[in-house]
Amino acid sequence: MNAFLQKINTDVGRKRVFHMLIGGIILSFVLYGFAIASTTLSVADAETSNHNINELQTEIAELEVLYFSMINQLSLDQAASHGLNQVDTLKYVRVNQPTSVAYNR
Amino acid sequence: MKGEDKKFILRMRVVFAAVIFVGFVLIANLFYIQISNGSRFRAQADGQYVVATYNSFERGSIFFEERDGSRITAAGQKSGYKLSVNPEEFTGDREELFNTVNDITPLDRDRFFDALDRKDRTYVEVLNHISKEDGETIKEQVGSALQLHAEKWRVYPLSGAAAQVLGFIGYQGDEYAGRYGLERQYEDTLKREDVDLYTNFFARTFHNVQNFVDPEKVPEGDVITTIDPQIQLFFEQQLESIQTDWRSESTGGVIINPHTGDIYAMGAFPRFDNNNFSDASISTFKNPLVENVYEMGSIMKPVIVSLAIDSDSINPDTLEYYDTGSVDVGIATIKNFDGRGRGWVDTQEILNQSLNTGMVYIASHIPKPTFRDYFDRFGMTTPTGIDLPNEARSLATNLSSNRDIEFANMSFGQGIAVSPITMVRALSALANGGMTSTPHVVKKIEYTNGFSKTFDYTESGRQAISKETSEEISRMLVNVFDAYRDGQVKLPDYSIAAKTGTAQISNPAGGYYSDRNLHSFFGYFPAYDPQFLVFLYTVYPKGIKYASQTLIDPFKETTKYLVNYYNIPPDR
Repeated sequence: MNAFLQKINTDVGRKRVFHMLIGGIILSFVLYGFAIASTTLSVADAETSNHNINELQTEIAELEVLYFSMINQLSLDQAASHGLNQVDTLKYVRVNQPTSVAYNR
Repeated sequence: MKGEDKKFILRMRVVFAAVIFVGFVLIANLFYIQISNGSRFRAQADGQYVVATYNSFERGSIFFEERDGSRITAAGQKSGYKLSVNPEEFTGDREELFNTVNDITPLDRDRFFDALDRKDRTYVEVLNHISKEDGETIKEQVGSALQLHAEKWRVYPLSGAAAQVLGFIGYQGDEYAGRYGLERQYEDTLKREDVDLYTNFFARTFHNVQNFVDPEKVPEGDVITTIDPQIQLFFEQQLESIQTDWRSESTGGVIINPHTGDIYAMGAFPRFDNNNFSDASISTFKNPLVENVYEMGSIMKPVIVSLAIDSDSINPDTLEYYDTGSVDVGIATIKNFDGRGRGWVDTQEILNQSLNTGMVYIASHIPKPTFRDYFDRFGMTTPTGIDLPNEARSLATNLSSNRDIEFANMSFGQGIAVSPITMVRALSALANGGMTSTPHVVKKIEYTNGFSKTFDYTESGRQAISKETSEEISRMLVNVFDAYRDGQVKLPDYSIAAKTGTAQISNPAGGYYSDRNLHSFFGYFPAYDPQFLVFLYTVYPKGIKYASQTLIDPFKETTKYLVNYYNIPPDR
């Protein structure tokens, strides 16, 4: 440390150090402002996005519930009117996992 | 070292110290500005559109989760506006103003004109929960005659489904918080501290740090439940049809995984709409499946038979009983539901025909301490620990009695009152190999700090009966279900273990009502490795006597739905 200080302890060296310190302080101010601003804005944006996501999720849920209630109202008669028949005798084939099953007539 | 060098080093240190000091000053200044002036800046920003509303309501979400893992918001938030008027200064055309707003969004005429008549007031709200789009239109067309205020509010998209499970939030005194259901149970997790991020970055940061380091602090988060929205909605359709078809006093049901205690659906009627409950009866806010107790009737019989088998009090292969239709216990006479005798019957027939006399005979073989011990093991005398508030305690004082009549009554489900969820826990032990499980509706909490907590209740169980006894009683209950309506009810490809129950309802004035019954039903499938246990009950259905008439069909519909929904392979 002392050797380094002795090396720069000349008129030219002192001026350079002075200019470097001034520049450093200005740079620090700029970086400080930039860092704080970007961090604050980023966090604020994230929070805003979360709020928006929550609201959109709520709206999606309302649509989903509407959809569920509609499919729960489908009846066998409606299915038959669209040409779909209930299969009376099913044959099952187990595939891959114990809980999955394929079936057909 | 020269004196000049020392001086230079000193100067350098002073400069460094000054830089650090200035840095601290800047940080402190920014902190001060953001905290002290944040609300003013926010007001300026919001004021571009509407009157600013401070302390905007924030709260975590509650999610239901579908089979494929996709989540549906069951309790979330919306933002928009509320509309107010200043009657003291209002001078415009009332009728025209009303029509203008009413064309955009429905407005209560009486409320609106009453508000305008209150000339001594400067602020009266006339409409809440206005969507953003409608709010913008109102502002364009009405101008300053009415005031819009930013507003956030709690929304329950399922509009009353799982109402008692979700609960709602409301005021109690000055406190606005969860009042029933999950909203209350997870209040500390769902509530949000009043820290506004836009203008108070440091406060938010320190607030999060506090959440991390303070062990007493419950972190903020969202709640993810085990409830499947599709199953819930379908199941509530079935419950509602029971309630309306039989004009019951109340109806409820649960679908649970008997192994894990995951509750897929839980509902009760009459219910209320969590979004608008101002006109609902307070009695509907309670979750009767958790907070009420009932004498469950004959669905208790399989529990008694299983404990008799497990304790070697009876041998189901050799037990035979001559049924005359009634039996005297002390000074009381206990009869079958129809008063008829069946002659010689075995254990299976006692269950098939739900013979009270036969159950009294079986109970007479069980030593009373054994009876009490097994009821403890089944969890009949202790709360289940379900993650919903106000769990009721069983009324089981008759277990302490030494009179035979009390145990005779309990053998067919009278004389002991338990909550439906307590009954479901005991019945789950019959289904899952003998272990009691902890019924629960929440599987995970996702915290806002990025961490999450997954609940695992698999280690919380207790062995009530042996695996062999569980299989034995399941086999018997499959025969019971297969025999209903001469075999017309059973599903040919699926083994279903089930039992109906019809209980008398106690009269607060003493004794039992002669014309009021509680119908109950449970069934689980696939019987020997069950993934679902469906429990149903309905209180005081009119014009019908037995649960086999009221609850079997809704159970069968629910079973078929679950089989299709989960693609459950046939097991026979």
